[in-house]
Amino acid sequence: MELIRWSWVGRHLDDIGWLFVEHIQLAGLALVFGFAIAFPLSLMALRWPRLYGPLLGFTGVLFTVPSLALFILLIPYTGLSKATSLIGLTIYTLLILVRNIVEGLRGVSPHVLDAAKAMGLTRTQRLFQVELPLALPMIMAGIRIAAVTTIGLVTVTALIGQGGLGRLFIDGFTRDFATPVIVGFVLSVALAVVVDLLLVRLQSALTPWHDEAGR
Amino acid sequence: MIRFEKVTKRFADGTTAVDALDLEIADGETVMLVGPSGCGKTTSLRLINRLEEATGGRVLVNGQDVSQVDPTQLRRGIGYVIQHAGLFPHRRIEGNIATVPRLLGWARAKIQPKVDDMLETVGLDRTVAQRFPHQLSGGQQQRVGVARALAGEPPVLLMDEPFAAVDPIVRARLQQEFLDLKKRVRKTIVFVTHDVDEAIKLGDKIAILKEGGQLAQYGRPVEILARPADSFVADFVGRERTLKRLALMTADSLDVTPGNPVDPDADAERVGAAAAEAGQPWVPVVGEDRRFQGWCDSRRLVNGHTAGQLAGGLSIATVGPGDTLRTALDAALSAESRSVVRVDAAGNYLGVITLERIAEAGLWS
Ligand SMILES: Nc1ncnc2c1ncn2[C@@H]1O[C@H](COP(=O)(O)OP(=O)(O)OP(=O)(O)O)[C@@H](O)[C@H]1O
Ligand SMILES: [Mg+2]
Repeated sequence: MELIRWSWVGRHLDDIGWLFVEHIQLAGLALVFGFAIAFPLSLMALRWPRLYGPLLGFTGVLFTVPSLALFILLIPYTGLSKATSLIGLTIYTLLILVRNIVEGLRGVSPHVLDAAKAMGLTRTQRLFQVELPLALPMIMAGIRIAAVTTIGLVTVTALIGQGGLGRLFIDGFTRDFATPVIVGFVLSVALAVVVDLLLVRLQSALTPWHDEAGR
Repeated sequence: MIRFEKVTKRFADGTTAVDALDLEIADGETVMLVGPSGCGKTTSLRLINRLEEATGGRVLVNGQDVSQVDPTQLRRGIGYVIQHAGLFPHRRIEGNIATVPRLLGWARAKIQPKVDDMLETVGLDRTVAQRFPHQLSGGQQQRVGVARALAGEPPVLLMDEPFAAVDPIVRARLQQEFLDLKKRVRKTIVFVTHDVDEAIKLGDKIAILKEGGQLAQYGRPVEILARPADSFVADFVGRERTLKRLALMTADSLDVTPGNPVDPDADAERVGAAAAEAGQPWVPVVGEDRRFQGWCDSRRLVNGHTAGQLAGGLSIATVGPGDTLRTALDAALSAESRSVVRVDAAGNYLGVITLERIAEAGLWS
């Protein structure tokens, strides 16, 4: 028996393309929302260090909730909708992003910050011109982990009727037909790998000093 | 001008880092803050640009109470150099140096030449402009730190142990460059160090701080060496060590300055001219027999009198080639001219040795 039936693939190229796009949309939006929430949270945690422990604890607990359970818990509120899927995925990105943003900003050398202050940079200028650029390698590392994790996790939301490429898994399993499963698997792994590579590229473009350091 | 008026800094945990400090730093002067670790040097420095806020008294910069000035504006007008340079790792050297000019909103056309100018001022090649800080040696980074602090043309420069993290050979070179630089740029400089030798070498004045943030003595290096205020200062500046060293050296090991001697018959006009040329009011009076007769104070010689008439009553101590510098130091200290006349073996006038010169010899040989 052949592993993959190419004729099926050929007939369903359109559908596969759509699911692929939906997959990217879900993962991308979850990352964008996750970052949009994690960033101010991280700044708050830095401003009021006493918040950091509870914040990490809370996001940590959210992270340990089994993914399926989380989606199911949300159903009463948001139904079998895209929103449910997005909220769940966003929550998962939070822990990774908050931790990396906070650690990245905290890792900036106090000498450098002191110098920035002494040169007459305002608080905002210090944040955007010194702290963020220097925390960028760490933040980008967080974004990479979050991206790869989320791309994998999107497939789980197929169980609540979303899921991008994950729907191919359901299709394949219910019909005991391997081709869609393999196509879904290969595409989602490929997507994760490509996104990761692109993010690495982006990071070196954004942090030339870091690259030339050979670190 | 920078003035500390009864300035106290008590941290939240109760530590008194600076205690009722009074200090006045004139424009263009380099003042060294020295003292044992934890005596409040860094804190005192940071009170000037408001990286710390005084809990008592006030700090004035150019007559203005710093607590009344917007801190970012204040800081843009005060250069700051720290031990590990604190360069921005993500900015090229050029970008680091341009920091304050950019904050001040200078035109691009003005910034670029300023960066080149600053690199030259601190003795760095223009090729480093495009590098990142980590691609420079420690000594080079420290130079960039100085260039960055000076780029905004601040009248005041604060330096906190700027040369402490580099090896001794590089440090000696940076110190020499600093001496050259400060002559050229004429800034008011407050320089923190815990190295007394560095303080004596680089400072116009030295403020010695004690444990608990108290000022132990403030004055010119030679004054402090010659007349330490108490045993703490004497120990701290290593006066004994200096005196012992001077006792082992002889006067012929030092170069003399000509001193512009005048003959005993010289009138006020000639004495005045000689003093002006020597750059100090005291002029040695030397007879036809080439014997030293005493010092004449050009400011006190009135018309109608001669140099010889004034010279008689003053100290006529001299040192010969075999006398020790310890002897020379005592003679110079007791003379109002703060100098001693050096004679040859036959007692003939050779020139003048200043107190500074003697002190330097004791410290640096
Ligand atoms: N932020 C702070 N909070 C509490 N105490 C502080 C703080 N900064 C400094 N101190 C204390 O104030 C005193 C003076 O510190 P400072 O850094 O001014 O000393 P220093 O003379 O520069 O010492 P060193 O030669 O070691 O650099 C020390 O006892 C120090 O522990
Ligand atoms: Mg210090």
